[in-house]
Amino acid sequence: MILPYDLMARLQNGFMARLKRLPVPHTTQNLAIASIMLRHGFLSNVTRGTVNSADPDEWHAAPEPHRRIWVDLKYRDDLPVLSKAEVISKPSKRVVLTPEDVRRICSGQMASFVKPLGMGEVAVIREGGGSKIQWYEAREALEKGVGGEILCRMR
Amino acid sequence: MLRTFLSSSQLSKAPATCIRGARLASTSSGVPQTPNQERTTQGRRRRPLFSKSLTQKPGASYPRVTDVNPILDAWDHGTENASLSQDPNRSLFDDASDTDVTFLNDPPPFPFLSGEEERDLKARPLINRSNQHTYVLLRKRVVHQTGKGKISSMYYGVVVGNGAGIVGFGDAKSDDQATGIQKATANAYKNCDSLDLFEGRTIWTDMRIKFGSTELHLRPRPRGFGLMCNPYVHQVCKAAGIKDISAKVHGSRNPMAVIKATLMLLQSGGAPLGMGNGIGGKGRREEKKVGIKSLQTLERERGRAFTDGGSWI
Repeated sequence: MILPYDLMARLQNGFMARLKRLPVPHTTQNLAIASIMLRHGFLSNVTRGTVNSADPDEWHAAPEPHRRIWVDLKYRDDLPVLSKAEVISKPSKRVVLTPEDVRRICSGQMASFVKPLGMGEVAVIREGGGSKIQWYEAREALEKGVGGEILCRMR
Repeated sequence: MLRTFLSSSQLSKAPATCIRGARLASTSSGVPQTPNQERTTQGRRRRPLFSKSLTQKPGASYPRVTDVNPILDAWDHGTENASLSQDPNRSLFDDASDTDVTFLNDPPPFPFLSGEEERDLKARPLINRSNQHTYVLLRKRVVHQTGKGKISSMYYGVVVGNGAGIVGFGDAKSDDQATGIQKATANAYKNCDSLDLFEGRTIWTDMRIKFGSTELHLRPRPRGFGLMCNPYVHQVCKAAGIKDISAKVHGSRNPMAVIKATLMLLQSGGAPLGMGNGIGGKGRREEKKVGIKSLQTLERERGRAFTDGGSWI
């Protein structure tokens, strides 16, 4: 199962460099995580595009290696809105949370060696496998009553 | 609202859409394809990637610093502006008169008070006799070695606060105690800053800082919990008006470092962009971090209202 190292690094570097727009590789997982970030206010726009432009029409015509997701980054008061994006589950140490664990980290307690979510912190949980993968934000997973592999946290 | 992301099978059927956040736009202007391609299939003229002046002979003309790059310059232009998409010689400022933008040349003098508020403040300062906390936390004999021998003096570190969100640390040296403490207190008043506290009694979220070899963790706690922390952190919190906190100092517990770390954690955020010096001076190490961010600040940054704070306070 792929881990979001590339996406986390690109986002942090993009914010540090004060970019307005950032192209990331076009994968279902990247689109899912970008969509969660958009919903939670870290990004102002998510678009499909190609290497050259953020044009959704061109995405249709482009071959797979040329496809990208363009995200618009947000800043306020001279500071980036995203300060840190960390990968939690690693190949050397996979972290899979039960629904009870998810409840604990959302309520300020540690679970399965995962620190609780701070104020404004967002975590992505991946549930399922094969063609039935779903990506949830931690609190969405809590409401649904599901657990899964906790991929990353962002603040 | 709770919506699961589209599953991979649904995604392959879904049209490539432009998922917009706050802004609605009919066109999506992105990076122009090549420097030479002036027009797209729709006939929309794209701004060239490089300024024309840069491709001319050196010394031909100076590049326009007001030219704005749509990718690299993170500046929200409001709408997809005419100045960007059509004329490369038109700058953003040419359109300023078309919009309702007011440029203020002279900001109001700090602390932005009305006449009545200023009078009240002069009559009754924020730190006054009834609420002031003054703690002499550091008392050291320091020695200055000269050719004529060792010259010793006393160093004093003092924390002042009003027990309601204002705190500062100051230090000074002197031969005698009274003068030393007096100078240190004066310096502490000069370094005071206000804190944005949750319910006026604790911090908003877990915070962590590393100051040299001193690592400090602060955690918010519920009402009535008290100050469960290092004695120096305790005094700083008491002066600041923090009533409930849990803290742990890892690594070095050097008192000066612990006090400075605490104040850096609580009071930071005032450093200039890039830590100066765009004329204004260097940034101060104590101002380097972000400081306390309240829920309101976070909501404004993200543009979202938080229904579940994600924390048990």
